[in-house]
Amino acid sequence: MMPYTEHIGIDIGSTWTKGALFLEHEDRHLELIERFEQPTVREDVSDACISIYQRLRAAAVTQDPNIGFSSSAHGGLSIISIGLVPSFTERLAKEAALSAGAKLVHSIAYRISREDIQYIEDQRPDIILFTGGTDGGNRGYILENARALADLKIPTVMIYAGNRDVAPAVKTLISEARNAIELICCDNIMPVIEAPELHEVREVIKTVFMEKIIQGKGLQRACEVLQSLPTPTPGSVFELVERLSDGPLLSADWGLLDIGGATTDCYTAVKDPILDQYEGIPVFHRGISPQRISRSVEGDLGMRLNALQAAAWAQRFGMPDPEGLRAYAEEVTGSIERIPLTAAELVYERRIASLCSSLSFARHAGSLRPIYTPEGLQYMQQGKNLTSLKELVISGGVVRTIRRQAPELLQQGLCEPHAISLVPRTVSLWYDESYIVPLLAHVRNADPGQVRQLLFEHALQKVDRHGEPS
Amino acid sequence: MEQINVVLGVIGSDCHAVGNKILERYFSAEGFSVTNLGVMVSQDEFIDAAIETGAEAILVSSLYGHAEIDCEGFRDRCLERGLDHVVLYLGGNLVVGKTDQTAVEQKFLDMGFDRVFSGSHNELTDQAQLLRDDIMASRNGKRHRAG
Repeated sequence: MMPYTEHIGIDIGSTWTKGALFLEHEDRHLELIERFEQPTVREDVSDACISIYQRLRAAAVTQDPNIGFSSSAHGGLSIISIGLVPSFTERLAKEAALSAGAKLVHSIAYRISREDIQYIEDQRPDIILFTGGTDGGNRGYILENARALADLKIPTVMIYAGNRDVAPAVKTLISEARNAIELICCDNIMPVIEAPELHEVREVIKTVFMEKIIQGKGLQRACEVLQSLPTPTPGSVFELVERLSDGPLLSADWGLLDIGGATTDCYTAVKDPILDQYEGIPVFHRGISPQRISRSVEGDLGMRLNALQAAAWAQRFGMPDPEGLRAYAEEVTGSIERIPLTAAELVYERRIASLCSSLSFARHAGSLRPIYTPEGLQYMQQGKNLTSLKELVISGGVVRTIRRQAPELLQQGLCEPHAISLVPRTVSLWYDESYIVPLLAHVRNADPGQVRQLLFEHALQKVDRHGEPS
Repeated sequence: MEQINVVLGVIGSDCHAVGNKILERYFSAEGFSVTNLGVMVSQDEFIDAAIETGAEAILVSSLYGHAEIDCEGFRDRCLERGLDHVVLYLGGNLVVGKTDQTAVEQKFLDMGFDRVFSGSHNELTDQAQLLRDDIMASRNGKRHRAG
């Protein structure tokens, strides 16, 4: 055995391509050796990736480092998901797509209309995720929807993960019509209501991305040079969160926030997503059980493209100087490279970061609704419990511009009046200043404990305490 | 035998769980494929689950006396949401106090339930067969209406 192993991780973003070389010692200790970044060339996204790869190879000592890369360039992996009922398969289909790292373009429930078909054709998603019904459950809607989808005039990959009993009929309907759909059938996302099964769908989505979609994304050349297949960036970050939350490693419930220019991504890993009781009062959970590890994406919250949307919330939360914030947001909208130039602008920048963080958490978190029963007060839980979340890693370009100043996490929930938002109560914030999260995601075979240590070593801690929500 | 899917649960803010478990066992043992939603189930949750599972019947329990307010509009809601042929059963202690059970049952039959089992005197004997017959009748476009 070699005395050490090297790992190369590269991530192609739509503006920057980053890469790092990690060294894994014999005792499995992990070290960051080299890190490079270069602007991504829009016309050839493979270009910066290959150049960084070559620089990292030159810095490497061994002949066969482990290589992994991811891409979110050219819109990432776009998916339109289809489910039956919004609270069941439609929700699960969205969740599966997001946890596989997709950019969820649209989601449809119940019957697919002619307008929906038109919309799908206009959007040209990379994948259509088609679900609905338990095994042995609903047939009518699924078959009708399969008939509607069979008429699609765009070439696309369709993954069917609905009622297993109608899978052969779906196959026939899709394959006998004249279309350019490549259909892949996999296990039902919800074989029974009580036990959703997202794992296989997630793997199939990632395989489709690797094998079929890379060409259209300009990644072919990178694949040839790196001798490796890419994953969608959020998909590999989700896997990283998964790896670092396995068993004993999950010492504390934690999360990862990626505040981008256009979107804010929120990943959380908690041991008990459902509460038994809250302050001594029994809690009932309704609907599909929240996943232990999940990702949500807020498409309307970002530091640049969606700065105005974020700023619009400032007034509602009673933040000072909403007009100044609005003017700054207007100024930076769409200008990715713009950084705060004055002390006042820095305050606005941090405020937008706070709004993105708080709102994405408020939406990611579930809530408790008081129910007055003959046995007294009880709570009904909807969504995921994040009150136990203790550590939060903040990643994204903004981490550098806000200069370690904690975005203050607001406690205002977004739930209905009288309900209690299950947002985190007391959190330590860690800043991914060297932006290594998406790169570390490619260190796959190393000891997860070491990966976790490296992540937290390279990030800077700041504790932010706040009281209980009102 | 062909699989028949049914959805079971206790409606409203009612958290009586024992009868619910007994019903789940009974109907499962009788060959039904039961999706048990447990206690404190809303009308829409019953309907959501029935659509996904392709259920042919919804079995609603209510033990705490507020069935009238919880069940109002259940059939209409099913029709609005596309469950045209679903068989609806209701059982339990439906109202508070000593009221004439026939009048109570009639009230819920008028609300659109196919069968109503009111009071605590009902034993589980032939309900599975009744349910099977009602589902068959519903498949043939006939709905059992006691009222």
